[in-house]
Amino acid sequence: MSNVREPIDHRTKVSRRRLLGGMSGLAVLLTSPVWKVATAFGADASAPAARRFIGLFSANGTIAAEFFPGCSGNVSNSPNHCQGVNSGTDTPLTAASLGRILTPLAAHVSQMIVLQGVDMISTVSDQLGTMTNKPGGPHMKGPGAMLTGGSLLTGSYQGAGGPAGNADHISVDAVIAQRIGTKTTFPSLEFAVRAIGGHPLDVSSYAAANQPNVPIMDPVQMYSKMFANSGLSSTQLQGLLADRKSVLDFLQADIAALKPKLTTSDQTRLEAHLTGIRTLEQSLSNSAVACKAPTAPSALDPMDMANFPTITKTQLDLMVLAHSCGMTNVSTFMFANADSWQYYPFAGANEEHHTTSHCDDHDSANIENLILMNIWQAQQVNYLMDQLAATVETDGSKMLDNSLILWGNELGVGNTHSYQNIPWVIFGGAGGAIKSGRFLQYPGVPHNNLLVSICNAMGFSDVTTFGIPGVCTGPLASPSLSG
Amino acid sequence: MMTHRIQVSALAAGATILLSCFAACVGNIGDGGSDIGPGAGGPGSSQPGSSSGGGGTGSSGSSVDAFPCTSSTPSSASTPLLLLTRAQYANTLQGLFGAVTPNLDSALGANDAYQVTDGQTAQFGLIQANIDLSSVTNYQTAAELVAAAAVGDAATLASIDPCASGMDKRTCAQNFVQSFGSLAYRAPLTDPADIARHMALYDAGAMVSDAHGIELVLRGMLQSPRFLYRVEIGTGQAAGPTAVQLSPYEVAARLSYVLWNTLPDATLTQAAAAGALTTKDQVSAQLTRMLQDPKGQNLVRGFLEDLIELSGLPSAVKDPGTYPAWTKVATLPASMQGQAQAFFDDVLNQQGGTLTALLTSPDVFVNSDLNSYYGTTAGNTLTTFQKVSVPAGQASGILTLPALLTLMAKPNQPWPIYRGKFVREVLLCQDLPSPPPNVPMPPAVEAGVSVRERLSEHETNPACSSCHTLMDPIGFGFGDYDGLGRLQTTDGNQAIDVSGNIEGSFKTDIDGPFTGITGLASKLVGSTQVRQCVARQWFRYTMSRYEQQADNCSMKSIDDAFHKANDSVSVLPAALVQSDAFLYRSVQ
Repeated sequence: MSNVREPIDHRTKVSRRRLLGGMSGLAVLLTSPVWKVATAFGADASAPAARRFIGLFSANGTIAAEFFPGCSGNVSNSPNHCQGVNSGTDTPLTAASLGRILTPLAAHVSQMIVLQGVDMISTVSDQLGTMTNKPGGPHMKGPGAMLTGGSLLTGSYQGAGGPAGNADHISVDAVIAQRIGTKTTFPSLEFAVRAIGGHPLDVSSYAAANQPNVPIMDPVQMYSKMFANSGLSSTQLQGLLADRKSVLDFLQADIAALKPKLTTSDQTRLEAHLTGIRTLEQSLSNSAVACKAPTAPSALDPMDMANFPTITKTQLDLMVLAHSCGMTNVSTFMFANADSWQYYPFAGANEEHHTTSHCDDHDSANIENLILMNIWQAQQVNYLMDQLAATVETDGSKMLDNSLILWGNELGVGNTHSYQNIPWVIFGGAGGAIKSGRFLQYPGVPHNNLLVSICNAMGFSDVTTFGIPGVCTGPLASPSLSG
Repeated sequence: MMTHRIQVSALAAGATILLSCFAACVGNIGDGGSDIGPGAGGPGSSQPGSSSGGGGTGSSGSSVDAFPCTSSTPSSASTPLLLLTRAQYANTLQGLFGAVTPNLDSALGANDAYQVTDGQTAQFGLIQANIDLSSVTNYQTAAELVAAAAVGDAATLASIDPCASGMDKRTCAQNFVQSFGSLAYRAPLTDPADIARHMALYDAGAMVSDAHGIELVLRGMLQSPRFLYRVEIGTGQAAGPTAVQLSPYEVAARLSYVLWNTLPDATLTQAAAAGALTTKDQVSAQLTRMLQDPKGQNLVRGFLEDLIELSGLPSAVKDPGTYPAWTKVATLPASMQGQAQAFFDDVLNQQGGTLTALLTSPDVFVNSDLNSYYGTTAGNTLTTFQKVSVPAGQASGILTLPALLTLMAKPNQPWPIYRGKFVREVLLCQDLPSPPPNVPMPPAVEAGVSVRERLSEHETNPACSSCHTLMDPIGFGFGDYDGLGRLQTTDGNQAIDVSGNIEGSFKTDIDGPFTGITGLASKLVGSTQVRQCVARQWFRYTMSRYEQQADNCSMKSIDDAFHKANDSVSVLPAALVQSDAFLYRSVQ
């Protein structure tokens, strides 16, 4: 157990503990801005702050006319169409240029890049990049492709079309976690609110082909995971890890003895179980906790639609807490599952998201409902950006400066199931690797290129392709993310 | 990956229909599994190739022998590893550790294979998802919490690992491994290598303390697949060319989990040890006892509740403008659920449990929330339900339960598509194809326009009609009931046309026109296909798998017993345990 990680910076740890220990409960804590101005953990005070990646998934497409700058003239006639470009353009992004959907984010406009003309064609492409019919209904394909640059495997999952399996490539957050997540408690944390409906609708992060990182949608459960080992001494922690290793070794032997007695299909299921056991064993290290646990969030039914806003906010709070406590440098969040059938009464649109996304272009009432739903999500993203901008890293920089946040969607347009023109926004400075405050237009490039650029911005210059090889043509260029 | 147990034989017929239905049209069947409609998946729906049963897809329903049974030797398909449901898991821990069992809601989280998002398909356990890392982690957390609680309580520790003073602790621990292990695994633990594996775990923990050794063994047992799944290997004794008999312990576990949703009690375990669970008579004797136990008394009612997805009612969404009662009367969902349960109890206990009573009874149950439904005053409190007989035509058993009609509706209107789909999938066991990928929004609710008129494109647009002919005309027969299941006299300011029809390419033995809910109910009551479908659903519900060809003789015996008992669902438990499928598995 020599690889147990000690908290690195005892000075900040103490101050951090004092700060958090003085709070009366997570409900207070998570609604109060006080803790967020604290110093983040996870790095030596003299070293540069860690780079961080956060992926945000939304469902059912956007309304292009109110998303992309310079497009709002279309909203009454063709709300889902924006004029494309024949070659790349690079224009400054200003608060005034934002469409209604992104207006809630106006305060962060200098830390934003809006991308137009970056398509998610890997959903429907073969290994050579030729358009082809891939498994899964149109909504199903999105989450498995957004961060992987791949598409879905064949399989037997239903729900929103189908049948299909899981995604066929590793996702960008997992690649980043493999490289920068090895010294944190969790290589990555996957959050969601009300991501239901089964795989592959409710998964955007993949550790490898066909290995979903299933998000946690109950804040209480996420809290338990984050703070499981809080309050343990180093000796206690080593004992806990040794115990777990003994039990996991036992289970591997136990499964090996049982397996030959079962049918082939049951053996396959048990093999999947064993894979989980092995992964758990491999992740036994890095189990220290840098922050003292605040009081747990109050339990809410994560299946209840009415809890959607509260759980969203609590999850985003926990996400920032996980980053600022040095528990992880990589996380993802899903605003519900793909094909989301969430209602949005709290956004002034008490309609079902998926059905509404299929409204006709001339159905102005429902177009407005969709805009309101998207605005609500932008408000939540803005909340996250506010917290990241207020959190100070050990080197004095702001967490948002060191982070790269990618917000995407399963579709560009809901009523045509278009994978073109996905509403992408990048936030943060990635430690200076990208130049923000810009609106970048492309003449229809695969989002695999965007994923390459993200890897490059995270410091991995060796990454030259991502996802399906035949689809990717290299990093985004002319204009590039670095400016 | 999920593993579907499927019956391949019906695939071809279903696929043909599917192709003819792939085009956009107004409305939706529940693309992606709406929370409020029947969604993508009544029992067997949207399963690739899942059985729609003999009377189902595309062929004549009435003339084909649904369950051709020619073999005289036992035959059964195999039940795959069944992961304990959340309730079974909790009950089993409760049975092993009693009150010391901690609350595990947070540890297990909501990302559970059993979250009900897919109708009966998930509720019945017909989809068995592979365990993924998050579940493995959750089980680890839960096992650690339970083991710590058990060992931390001196009385519990002494009861599971009794060790008289002066006894060697390790010897006691080995006794504990065997005695407690056979309870946790629902099977004897006698293999020396198996015992040695557990003792190695004990020894690792015993370096700290004896109690810690026991704690580690508990952690291991509670994460073992033999605890988490229902494992059925069989005796190895062939009972004919295709079947082997299950071991008495496996039969005990089946009885216990199917009837009680928990681990076997001492009586069952003793019967298994004595080899007294090998014949149908022996099993039936246990059944009688178990159904009288409080844990078994609501078995059939639970089946009926799950058929209409009653537990999902509180999450139904209603438009407050259209149905203010849904949001204003906070107790309404619970009242509807209580009403349905009272009705089922009455049918089962007072009306012989017959399909006729279930489908046509004019008896309704009212509490103070539900008086307004029927113009009664009998419901004088919230907590008690009074039986009231309403005039003929106003209520027809399960078909007019407000709980069902509320679920089979849109937030702002009754939805004939969901209602027709319910009849097709749940009562006739026909799998309808998934909706096409790009269905436009249905027309908005407008004053002066009836729902039948809003869905008229389904008749005129050939892209729609091939599939919607299967659902909409049945659903129109429910027209007297609004989106909360209340009687209505007009729709869109018009008199309601409740003429319906069972028609289209999926043939049934009750095809043809009918009028209103009573007309539909009398058709359903007279249908062999409906009776056989209820038998199929019962099989799926209790066995957590689809019936397959190897189960034909079992299905025939269940259906025969059902029919002989005047179509009484009360006989279904006995009919099930008397079938080969309950005592055997296939050779493999």
